[in-house]
Amino acid sequence: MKFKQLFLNPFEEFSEWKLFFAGTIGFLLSSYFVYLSGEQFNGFMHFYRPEIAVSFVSVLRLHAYMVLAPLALLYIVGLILYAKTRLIDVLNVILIVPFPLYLALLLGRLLHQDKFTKQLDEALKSGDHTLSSIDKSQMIQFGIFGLLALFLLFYQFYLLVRGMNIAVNNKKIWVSILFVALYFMLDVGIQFYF
Amino acid sequence: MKKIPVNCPCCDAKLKVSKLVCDSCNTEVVGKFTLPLLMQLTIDEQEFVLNFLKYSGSLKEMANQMGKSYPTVRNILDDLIHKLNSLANMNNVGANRMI
Repeated sequence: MKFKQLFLNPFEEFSEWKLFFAGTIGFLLSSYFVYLSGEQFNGFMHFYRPEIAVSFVSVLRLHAYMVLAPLALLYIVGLILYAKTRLIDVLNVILIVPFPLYLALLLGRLLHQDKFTKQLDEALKSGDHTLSSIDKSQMIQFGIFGLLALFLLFYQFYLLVRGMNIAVNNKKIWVSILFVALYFMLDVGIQFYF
Repeated sequence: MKKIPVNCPCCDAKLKVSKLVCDSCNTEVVGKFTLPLLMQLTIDEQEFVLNFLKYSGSLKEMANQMGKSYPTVRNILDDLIHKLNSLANMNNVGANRMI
């Protein structure tokens, strides 16, 4: 029962300290993983490869901003909607929500997604529009990975809605849509303006 | 012991008490009595209220005992307060109509 609940709605059954502990571990591990892969955060759902290698502290600092920005926004909105909203509950949501994205990132690295994207890019640039030079099994593998990544992206928003609904005792669909829209717009805003 | 139904099994409307019987002398009181506010709640909600009293109103303690997170228990309590207020208003409206 608890195992099922862990995936369906971890915010309903697990205490705030268990969630905070799991969220912090995920935050540190994902920062270290992003640092090892030579990338940097650009918004909370996007990464880029900087020309100059970045330090672990720099990745950690930027990741902390990526937690603080949605935390501030969603906590203020939460307080407006429901005066009893607690900072720890919103923080736990912000820390746990990107877990599916971390999994997608890890899978992408294990499958050497960047190498495959480069191959595709080169094939298209050399005029191979039917992608005949690309191995078919590899194409299927990345097709499946693409579908899985899409599912994980939706799952991320599902967790956001579930978590915020509990944090602010919300039952209205338009408020749930508002949370997703705010999270998404803030991510896009950070990507383009910072 | 049988559980007292709160809602009508046919149309789901609130039930009323129409007869009270004394267990020792069998005296019967017949009328139309509204159930007390707490009895108008579902069994689960009544149990929640009892647990709330049992744990001296500590939601943290209740959350531990129920195996739920603190905000989940707080939300149940908030919804219950909302429901009790609505029931009290409905009862008041009903009483005013009778006057």
